[in-house]
Amino acid sequence: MKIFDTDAIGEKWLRKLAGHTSRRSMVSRLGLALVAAPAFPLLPVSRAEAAKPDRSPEAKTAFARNAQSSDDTECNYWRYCAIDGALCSCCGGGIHSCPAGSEPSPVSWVGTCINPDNGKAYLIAYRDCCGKPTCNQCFCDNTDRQTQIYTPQLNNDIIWCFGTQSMQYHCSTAVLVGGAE
Amino acid sequence: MATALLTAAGYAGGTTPLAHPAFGMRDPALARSDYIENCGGCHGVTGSTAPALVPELRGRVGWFLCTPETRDYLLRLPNVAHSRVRDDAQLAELMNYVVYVIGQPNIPVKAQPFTAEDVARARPRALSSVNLTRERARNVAIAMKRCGAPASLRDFYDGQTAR
Repeated sequence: MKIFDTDAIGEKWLRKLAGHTSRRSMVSRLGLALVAAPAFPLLPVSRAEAAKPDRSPEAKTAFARNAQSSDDTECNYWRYCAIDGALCSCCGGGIHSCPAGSEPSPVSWVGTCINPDNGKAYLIAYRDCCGKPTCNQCFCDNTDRQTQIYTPQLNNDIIWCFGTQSMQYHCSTAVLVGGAE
Repeated sequence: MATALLTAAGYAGGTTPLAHPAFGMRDPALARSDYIENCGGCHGVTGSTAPALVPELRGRVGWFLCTPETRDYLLRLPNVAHSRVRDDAQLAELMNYVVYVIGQPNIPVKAQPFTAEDVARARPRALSSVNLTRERARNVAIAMKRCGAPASLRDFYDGQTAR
């Protein structure tokens, strides 16, 4: 006969526990809770939508991963993530300013772009310059955050020359509005 | 005139989230950012893009808080109800930024902030198949009659008819 039989000791202890523990006891409830917990989500509603946007490197778009911050006459300059049109910086204007003879539209298309230098997201207003024939330089069509044309207010193909003297589209600027949350 | 001069001006710059919901915003900075991203292109970062033919919000949109019907009108506007901001509480905060910050100082006294429940109720009843110009005129008439909103609210922006 063995002097120290762990199996027997364990069995004896468990039988004793089972015999002394009622079905409603703390121990059985705790055991039940441990087994059942994964079956229930911890929060009753989906919080994913309420959370702030994911700006992690993994969540970046192809544009954001390849963007640069040195040359604003190239389509992959970081502020151009949702621009559609000719870059004013190639047409005699600047990233913030319309070329002489054209006027900025009061309305714009707003995009959220990530600055590769600090990884932060910024709100960018694409303000069209209007009133001159289209400038055929540096034509870009970047599409972060835009949807199909059947949701016209969420598509940047539309020319935003509203409220100007002429609806004629010349080029697009990318004005930094502020930080995005 | 039934208006309250609210000290919401500080939130226009909104960088520090408040501990308690002031004017229905737990996170005014996020509400502002959501406004600029989803509405600011056409309505303007500070609520005006006149002379573009877009209803000016600055100093005007708060009038619509005055009756249950006109409040509901704002939430049922297609681009509000179908907003890509899908969380009802987050959209309610965006709309509270619009009425309390951009709409100031013309906010009816006793006006209650929008809640997630208000948004949830309005979303399925989006004004998708009505004449929006007519619907807007009807709600402006209510705000003028019941709350003393100025007749200039009939225009899309102040001075529109003078042009």
